[in-house]
Amino acid sequence: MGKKKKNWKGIEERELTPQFHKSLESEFPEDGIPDLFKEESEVLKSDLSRRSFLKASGFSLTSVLLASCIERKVEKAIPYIIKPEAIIPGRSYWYSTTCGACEAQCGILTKNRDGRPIKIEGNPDHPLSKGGLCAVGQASLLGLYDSKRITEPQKEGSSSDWATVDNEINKKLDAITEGVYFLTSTITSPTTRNLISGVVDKYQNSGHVEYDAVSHSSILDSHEKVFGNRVLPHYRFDRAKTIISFDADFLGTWVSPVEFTKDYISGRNAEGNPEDYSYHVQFESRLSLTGSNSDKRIISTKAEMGAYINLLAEKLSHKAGLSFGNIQDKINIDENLVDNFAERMWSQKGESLVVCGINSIEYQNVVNYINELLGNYGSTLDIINPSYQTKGNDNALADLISKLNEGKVNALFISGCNPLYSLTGRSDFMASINKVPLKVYISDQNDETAEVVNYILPTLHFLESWGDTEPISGLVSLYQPTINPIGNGRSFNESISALLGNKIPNDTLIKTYWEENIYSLAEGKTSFTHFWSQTLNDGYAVIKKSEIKNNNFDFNAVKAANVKKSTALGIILYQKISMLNGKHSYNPWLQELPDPISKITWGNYASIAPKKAEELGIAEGDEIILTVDDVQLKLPAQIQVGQHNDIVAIALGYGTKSSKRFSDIGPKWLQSEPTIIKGDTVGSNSFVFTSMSNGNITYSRDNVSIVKSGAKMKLAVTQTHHTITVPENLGGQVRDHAREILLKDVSTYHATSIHNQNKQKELWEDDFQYTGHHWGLAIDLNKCTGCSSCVVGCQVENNIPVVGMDEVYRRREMHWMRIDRYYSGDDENVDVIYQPMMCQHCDHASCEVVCPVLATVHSSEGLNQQVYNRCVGTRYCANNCAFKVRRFNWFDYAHDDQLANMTLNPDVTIRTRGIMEKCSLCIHRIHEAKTEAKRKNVSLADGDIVPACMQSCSADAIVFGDLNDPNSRINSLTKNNRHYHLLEEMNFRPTTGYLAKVRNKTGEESHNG
Amino acid sequence: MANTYSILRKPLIKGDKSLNTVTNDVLRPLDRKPTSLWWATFLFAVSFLLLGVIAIAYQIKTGIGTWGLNKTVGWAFDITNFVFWVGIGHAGTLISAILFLFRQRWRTSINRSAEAMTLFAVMCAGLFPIIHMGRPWLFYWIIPYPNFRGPLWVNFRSPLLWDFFAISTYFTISAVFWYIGLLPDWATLRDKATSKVKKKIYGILSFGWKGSFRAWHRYETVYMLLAALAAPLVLSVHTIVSMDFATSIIPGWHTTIFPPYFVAGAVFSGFAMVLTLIIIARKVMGYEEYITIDHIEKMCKIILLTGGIVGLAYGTEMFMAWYSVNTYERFAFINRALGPYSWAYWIMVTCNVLLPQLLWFKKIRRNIVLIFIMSIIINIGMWFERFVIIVTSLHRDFIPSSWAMYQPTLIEIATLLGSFGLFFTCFLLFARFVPFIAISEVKGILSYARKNGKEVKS
Repeated sequence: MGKKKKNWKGIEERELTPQFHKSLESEFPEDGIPDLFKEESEVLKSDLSRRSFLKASGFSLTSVLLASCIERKVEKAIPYIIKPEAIIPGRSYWYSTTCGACEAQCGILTKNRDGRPIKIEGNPDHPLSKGGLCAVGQASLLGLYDSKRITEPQKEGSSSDWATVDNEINKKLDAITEGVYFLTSTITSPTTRNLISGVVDKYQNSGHVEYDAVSHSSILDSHEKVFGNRVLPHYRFDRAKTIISFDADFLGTWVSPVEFTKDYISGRNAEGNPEDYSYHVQFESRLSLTGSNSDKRIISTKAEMGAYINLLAEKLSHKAGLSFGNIQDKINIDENLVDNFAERMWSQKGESLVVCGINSIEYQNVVNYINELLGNYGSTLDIINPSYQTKGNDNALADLISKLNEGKVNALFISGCNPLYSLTGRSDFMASINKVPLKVYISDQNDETAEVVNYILPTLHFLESWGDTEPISGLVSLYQPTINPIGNGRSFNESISALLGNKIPNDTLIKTYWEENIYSLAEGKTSFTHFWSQTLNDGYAVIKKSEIKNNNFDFNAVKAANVKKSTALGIILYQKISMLNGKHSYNPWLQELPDPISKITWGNYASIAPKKAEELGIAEGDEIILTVDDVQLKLPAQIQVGQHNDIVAIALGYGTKSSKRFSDIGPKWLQSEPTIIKGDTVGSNSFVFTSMSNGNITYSRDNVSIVKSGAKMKLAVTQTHHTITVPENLGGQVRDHAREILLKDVSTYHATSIHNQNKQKELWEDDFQYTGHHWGLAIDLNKCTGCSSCVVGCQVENNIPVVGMDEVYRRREMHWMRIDRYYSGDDENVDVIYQPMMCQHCDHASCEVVCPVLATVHSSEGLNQQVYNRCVGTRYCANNCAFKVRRFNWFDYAHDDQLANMTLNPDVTIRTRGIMEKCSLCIHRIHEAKTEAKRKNVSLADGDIVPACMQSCSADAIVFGDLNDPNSRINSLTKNNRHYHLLEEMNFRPTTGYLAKVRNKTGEESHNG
Repeated sequence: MANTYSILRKPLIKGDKSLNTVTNDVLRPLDRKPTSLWWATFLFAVSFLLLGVIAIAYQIKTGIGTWGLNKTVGWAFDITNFVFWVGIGHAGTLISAILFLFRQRWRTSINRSAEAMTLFAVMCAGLFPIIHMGRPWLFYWIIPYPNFRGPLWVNFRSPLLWDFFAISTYFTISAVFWYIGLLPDWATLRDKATSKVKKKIYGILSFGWKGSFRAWHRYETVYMLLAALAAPLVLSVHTIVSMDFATSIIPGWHTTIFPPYFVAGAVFSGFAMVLTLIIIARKVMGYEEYITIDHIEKMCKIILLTGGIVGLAYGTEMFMAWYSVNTYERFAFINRALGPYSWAYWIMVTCNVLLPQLLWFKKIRRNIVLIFIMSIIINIGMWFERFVIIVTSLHRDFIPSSWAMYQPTLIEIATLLGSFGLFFTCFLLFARFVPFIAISEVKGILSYARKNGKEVKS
């Protein structure tokens, strides 16, 4: 007990051995550590002679030397060895250039990351497109990285080199004195036009034929007839209070849809004076995007439209004290309606606009007559400073075809169009093209035309070459290369200069032309260099307008259009928003973009009115064979409301050779079906039904017969229930997700019920206060036209995979945002409402509570975030999402095409199989803007952050912003009386809100009043 | 042995069994070589199991896309099968625990097989939540334990997590309960074994059971305690499974009636499955004197009761949908009954509510063939109940643009068949290698309603 207790660490300490004393002094115990280098030290200890040491070191030295001599692929990877000035890896750079996807020539900005363009966006400063860009423009980025492009010069179907093909073509041309023709699409580039005429002028009986697959030639032809100049008016929809359109899909596909959408929407401000709100009447036989946005749709056949045009002209000429002449073949139409329109427009002289999309000079003449009587020339139609966006000349084409037939064409240069595809309706062309001894295709597309030509001179994508354009008089813009050419292509201009015997680089050609011809028109620039660099920086330049001298309107040239009423079933051919004339059919993004109306992807179909379908015993998806004369086409039937009973509508642009590539697209598994069978095309080529009448290409046919083949075809639809109303037999209840009101009620309307305005009493206090930012979206349903460019914009920005027809058919498309389209009314008189839908970023998100692994969580700034690498894929969140906006990675979607992978946005992760994804409100853009603001040491301003959908919207329908910022645009929108949230009663508290659609209708006309 | 007897009740075990005959009868299948019938059914079951294994391997390799799910219907066959199997698993614990606590001595003939069935059904059930994940190889992420992933924790608000706890607890308790009950029987096997190896194995399996008074005393205390522990689980498991739906926002799922409704449905389907199995087993294995027609009739009565609760729940749901004036709720139920999946709804109503009404008749309750058919009908009906609840609610919810249809793929059907393969393979192995009837417990009731060990003829 009395003895002091002693603790000891081990036997050594207890025994107090001498080793223990020694080890106490040293820092580390020696015995405890085994000698790991024992063997090595033994080797070193062994007697290594000087000789063997030298041998060993000599061997190692030689082997290192040999190893370093092996040639290895030099991989270009960041960081740069010599960093180019002003390039910081990981930061995006923007170049202003021009969109070359179609002839509308919208101004664009390309986003470059690490030396490659990854996104195309509208240039907000551009006078025409004002920051908008259509779906095709957005998607045309993929064309740059298309691995199936032709990138080497071709001679008779096999690869060659530039020197050979240039020499041979020049040699052949030297032997020719006449009959050299250019067949191109509309050329908006002044330099190119100049170069082509340089070639053509060298030969006799030669010419340059501009041909648009979907032609607007009659508009120009008609203006030539009545005004003496073959021009396309510059339409100003923003100045028109009444718009009457005869089958012109100007918001979707007609001439310059982005520009027109901007202008159209600016005339439809729900909050402004109701008097200034434009009234839009659409005559059409199918339901088009433009028609779906109109205030009044009059379903009529082409003949009936002719009768309406005639009658309108007659009524107006009475008012003007003129006589219109006899109208033959009167068709029974609603005369009161025409009276109303005539009255309305007469009282708004100079503030109305009548447009006609029917390619018939007779119709166009009368339409011009109407516009002239209404004094619209000079206000809503500008022909003094006209548009050059479409110049196709059907008569010139007809001439060329007859020359081809006669064998008078010795050399034919084709570019920008694919006549072997789009002229399939002209059997004489298809037959005679081979009579031409020298056929040269200047294009990078491996399409139908590429198969028949002798030489292919590959061109460059518009993002990799210089170029210039003049879409309307007084506005020029530049294309600039945003990447080194991929492959061995050569710009069109350079190839033409080679034909002239003197190959000059493209930029020199353009610069020279501009210095000589355009600089002089520029105002207030000190030097050409200054002018050039300023234009390059802005992407465009406003120059002196050409001020064309037109004759006075030639009233004698106009007579009533001939209209023949046909009782039989007719066909009309139209362009789809995604596919247009088929030029972009190689593009999977566009193939998988749902049509705004039918919501069908991957392929075309024959749309039939419900009544007619019932009459013919046709159900949706039935394979039908359409026959006109001896031309046949097999297509799936689609039942389309709002369509004329005697019309079958078929989209153009399908059945191209370029679409054959899609036989492999999409995941493959036990029960998967290929998008197309190998060797097949996506959809069928309906250009076979085009014909010529009165010198113009006609996109309609009469007397079609329909036979059911008995087979069924799949229609890959993304929306199968078409109304906001539940089926009649299940209650017929109308849901209020997409709200609409009449224009006259706007001021007294409250979208949010009083009940919801006073926030419901909460059981619990809010556990989180958003004290910093609180991001939100406001979407104006009245502005959204349904054009779907946001869907593609989102897809490009967020690396969203294309899944193929079978997967879409299984309702598994991956688009993070969709545009819901609802019909109301009956089968004939339908109202359409579009509702863009993406993650609503609910503050009380139902998806967040149910995830067992916390893979979806809420940010302190109100974002609903999906953590990909945390997700195990229970799909509970998707089930519990009331808006069904979550998308699941059912498979590993292919990213095999290395070149196509160049479009991938490095800021956004590629998602693997088995995880959930959804709209992030472009969180990477939020962070980019925040970082930038921090770097500049400023606070974030409203408008600094623009998500991809908002950016791409031509109608400015989507607004992003900070709900906590009292001065933000979104805050003023949330206070708007049209503003509401979806499913308010569920108390999800979404931060995405909608503004109710406004209908400029009287009470009786409204279906949903 | 108790020497009280009732002259009002019939004995539970027929045929004047002595203790020795019971042992011999129960152990007979274990002693002899398997019959050709056993081999045939076993191979049949194993081939289904293999089919399932192949389907699951293919699905894990290729992706959940091999199922017919889509952006709108995120669960269908997977969770239907899960709930179906969990429901089947209910009868075992109910019979062994709740009936034990209520002193229902007739349970002794069927509790062993019912508990085994429970285990196998829960195994089948547990399979589906794992393979239905997009990344099943990460399923352990839903287990809360200190980890090196951050550490990342789980979401205790998610009913899927509660599911994980409920199912794993239920399986553990059921397995332990089943095994504890087996101890005296293992010892019997050991004592009867002729070879040394068998003796050794059965000895280990019986945990060295001695049959002493103390061992029996402790055994019965443990059994009682476990029964008391397991009893609430009978209610909790399906309550929690039902919360997967009840706590969500989907009309047709979001209802407070789900917990009792699901528990009743589970007992209903569980008893039906027990009936299916024992009706075959008593015939094939010659246990007709142990599992008598009285047993079957008693179970039919429970089915009638729980089936009635299920029917009431169907009616209540419909009534509440109408009474709530909630448009989405109303639509969900009208759509169930009259929408595109109405055929499934009416199969459910017919199989679960209408046909079981026949059980009111004693003649039918005592008709083996009819009861066998009825048990299968109820199982079909209960599978469809889960399918109807899951698919019809999901396929048309709030936003009409997203409405979609669901169709199962071959892989899904193969997986369902595979789960049946797993179930029957396990059950057949059980019937072959484990005493099918609890020998010790049956011996305890031999004297029930007997005088001096003899049946009293009235």
